[in-house]
Amino acid sequence: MLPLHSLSANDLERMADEEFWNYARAYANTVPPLSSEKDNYQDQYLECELSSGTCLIPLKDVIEIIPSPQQHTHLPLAPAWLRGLVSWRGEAIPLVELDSYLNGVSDPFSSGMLVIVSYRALTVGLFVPDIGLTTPVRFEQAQTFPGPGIFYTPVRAGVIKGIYAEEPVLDISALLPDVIRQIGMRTNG
Amino acid sequence: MDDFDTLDRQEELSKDDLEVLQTFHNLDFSSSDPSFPSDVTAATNQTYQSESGQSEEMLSEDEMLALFATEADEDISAMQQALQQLELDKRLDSHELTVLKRCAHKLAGTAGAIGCASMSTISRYIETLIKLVEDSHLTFQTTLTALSISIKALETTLFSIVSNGFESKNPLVDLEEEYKRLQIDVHAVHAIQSSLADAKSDSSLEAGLQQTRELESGGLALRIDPGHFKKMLESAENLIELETPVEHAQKQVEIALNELQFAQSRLRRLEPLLSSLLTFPATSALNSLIQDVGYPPSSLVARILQEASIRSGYIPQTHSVGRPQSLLMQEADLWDEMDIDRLSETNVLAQTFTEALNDVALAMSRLQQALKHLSTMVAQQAAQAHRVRQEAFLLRSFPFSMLASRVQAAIDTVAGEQKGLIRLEVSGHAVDINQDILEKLMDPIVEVIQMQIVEVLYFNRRTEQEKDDRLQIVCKAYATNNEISIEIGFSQSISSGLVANLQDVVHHLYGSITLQAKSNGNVTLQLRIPRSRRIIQGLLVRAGNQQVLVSVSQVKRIHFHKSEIHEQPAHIHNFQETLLAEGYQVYQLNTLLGIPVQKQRAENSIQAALLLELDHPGIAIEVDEVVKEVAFILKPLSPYLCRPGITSTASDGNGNRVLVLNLPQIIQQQALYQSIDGAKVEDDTASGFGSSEQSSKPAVCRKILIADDSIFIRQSLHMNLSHEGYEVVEAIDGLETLDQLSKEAPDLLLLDVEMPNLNGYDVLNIIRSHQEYSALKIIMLTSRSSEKHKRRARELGANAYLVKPCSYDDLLETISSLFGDEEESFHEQVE
Repeated sequence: MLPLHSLSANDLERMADEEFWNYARAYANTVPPLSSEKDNYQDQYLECELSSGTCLIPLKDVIEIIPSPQQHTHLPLAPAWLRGLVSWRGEAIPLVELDSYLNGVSDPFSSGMLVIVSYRALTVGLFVPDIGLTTPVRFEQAQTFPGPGIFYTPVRAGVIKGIYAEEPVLDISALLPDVIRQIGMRTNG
Repeated sequence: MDDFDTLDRQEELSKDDLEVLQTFHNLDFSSSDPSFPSDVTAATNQTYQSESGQSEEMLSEDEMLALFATEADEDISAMQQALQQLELDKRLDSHELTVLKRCAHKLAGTAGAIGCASMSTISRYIETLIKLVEDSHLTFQTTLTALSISIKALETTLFSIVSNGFESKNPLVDLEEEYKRLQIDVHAVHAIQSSLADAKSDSSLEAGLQQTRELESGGLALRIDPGHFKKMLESAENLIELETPVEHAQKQVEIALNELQFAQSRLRRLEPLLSSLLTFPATSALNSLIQDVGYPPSSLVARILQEASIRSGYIPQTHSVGRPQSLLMQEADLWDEMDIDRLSETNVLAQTFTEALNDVALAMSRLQQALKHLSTMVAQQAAQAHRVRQEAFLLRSFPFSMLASRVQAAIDTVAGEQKGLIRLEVSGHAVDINQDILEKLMDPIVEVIQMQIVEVLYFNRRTEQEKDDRLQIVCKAYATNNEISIEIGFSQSISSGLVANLQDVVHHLYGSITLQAKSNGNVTLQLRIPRSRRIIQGLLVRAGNQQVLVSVSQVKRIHFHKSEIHEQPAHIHNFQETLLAEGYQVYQLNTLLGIPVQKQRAENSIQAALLLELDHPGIAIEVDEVVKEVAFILKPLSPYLCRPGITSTASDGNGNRVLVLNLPQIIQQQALYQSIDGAKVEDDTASGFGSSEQSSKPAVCRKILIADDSIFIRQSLHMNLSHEGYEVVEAIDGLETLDQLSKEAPDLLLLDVEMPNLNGYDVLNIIRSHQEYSALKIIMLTSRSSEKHKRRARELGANAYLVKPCSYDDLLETISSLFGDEEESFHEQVE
């Protein structure tokens, strides 16, 4: 059976109905079963572009990716890396400029993508200039994080799970609570 | 707000009671156990000086233990009774919960003080459970089960203390297992509460969070007024009945629209004929007319054709557009041959055109009528829907008379035999107030009235002439479309400090409060509150590139300033100067919220200032634009996103969420920010506290008043302070504290917060509003450890704040420091 990408639209159009559906059924059988797909999905990471390179975000923590809205609501007493609040599915969620949060590099007027990530009941929008492909990573392949101060500020070292192909892998389960804590604690003045 | 319940008054121990205790001791505590907590052991061998100061005796550790056991037993019994009442009522009544909370809180403090950690922890768990119930996180049945096993655990633990002389940890361990089984995570709740208390230490913020939680939970139970419910049902039925007429009106519009379209299409088909008449021969135009319109244009011709068709056996379809052209031509030829009616082609076309125009005009007129009818029906439907919404609000409302009766009961309680000197006038009994709002306002309003009565009756603030007059209290309520106004008038002047708590509550409800003094000496508190806690009438204003919402009820008026194009900044400066000259404190909303200022304002933009409904000082908030007035629905922010005065958002109608501002709270927080540095200095002072060597013995015999509803705490403190040479007097609640103050004139007051009949903050507030007690040192001694409570105590004028359980060394050091150092500073210690 020819792989799907080797057939043009014309090839498919020329097929008789029976021939087409036979081909479709046979091709569908080549897709891995659901369980292994799920396992693969657990290991998928989304490449996000930052000023200093790219970072990887676990796909399992990503709910949605949308273009970053032009308007956001200013929240007083907030850290510099918090652009504000955006409305997502009717809720106000924080919009975190990931580059600024990790590296202190801020470009408040740039446009990009909003990666909505969630951990437990916490939902945050991570602003990144652009997103790339998804990369399968077995975590044993990832190197242990070499220590703070090399890639990111020591303060943020705790949110880096490891390094894979020289790209830091973010730990959303550590990042989101840290973000929430810092947004909340600013009210102390 | 602290609990306040006159029904929970703790009974004082008389000498007879002590004898009973002694008997109890002889029965159950015949032997001393060496394993008894060291705190208690340390508390022995102290001199006990009775309240009268006439007899001195030593309480042994067993006697102290018996005292604790008796008090704990009473608290547990009170909790059991409250729980039984809850089970009988089959609903989570707030009064019973208050009893449970107070007893648990008291027991937690007392058990902690004596070193019974398990009992203290279980009591704290009960407090946490009640908190969960109040936040609607637990169901009724789970609550009952959890409370029941918790109280049982308390009982078992107390039994182990009484039986063995030391407390068993097993009941606590078992209880925690039971909590797990019930899926109640008390530890997590503790952690969240602690972190929130740390992260959001501001009082207004904490109250805001509470407000958010309440908005989320929607209250414990919905009590519905049957009369309003019936009215709402009728209105809802009327709304449903309106559906048919509206649908009929919609159909009429559709029919009229079709007619208009048909007439328009006929007119459109005539347009090329008109143009061709001018360029082509008449016959050709007529043929085209016949071809396009489908039948000869004259009715006379139609009649002739009809007669001809009878003759020829062919029945013409006069309105059929699709007739064969040859047949039409044949008919036209026949008409020509008959030579009956020689109409000119131009006349035929003109007449047809006129008919088509008339058809369009007629169809247009019918459409307008149908639209008008539809719009009337839609307006009726909208009005009916609005009525249903209003009645749905009223469904959750109580009449104002409910507050009035509560006020009367409070007057009777506080004034006692002197209640004849108080005259209460109420108007607006039938005004409906949302029950959530009324419940929030009830306690603080009653508190203000009670404190005012206490001021007048017990502090002799009235002149000789006034003493003959009765204290008149007026409660008035009236409602407008979007607001409830409540007025509380007094015939005597009132200290503005008394309304601080009420002010907080009103602000949290997005309302405002003003204190108006009249020339005859009367004062009136005027409250303006939105009718609903969810839907609020507000102003959409712009600050920089941000739009925010402000409750109309918090704005006294708007001061507009129309700026000219290319206006120079000097004019803006003058605008501010005008406000400053009128005595206003002027804030720019941009600056307050940290919003970047736009470099260029929009042309012809209206600069405005919102003048807030505050007494003194007048506050003006400058904004870039007042966009519009709008009713908005509050949506609570997640707790970590809440800011002082910002706890909710609303939709701007374009898919964006805008912040809803509570401006008085934001202004209050502004002042708080400015005071942070000062507070730090005070904290630094406190950190050095205790380093100076001072004599543990007082230089002169100072008198200390202990105000605490726990017998154990009072007597424990009494013994130790007496041993140190202080003269000690006691008070069991807020009112007795005030009474003892006037009788005994103590030098220092050890003041608990959670007490019946005026809580510690109320007492502190009253004392600090009296100049004659300015020298009195006040130490708050409470188990409330959050920054919110400390700040409140500091703001109300406490000299020090100690958290129970507190070591005697710390307490004695604090006392001697306050006596030794006259310089005002706030001492704080948390263990």
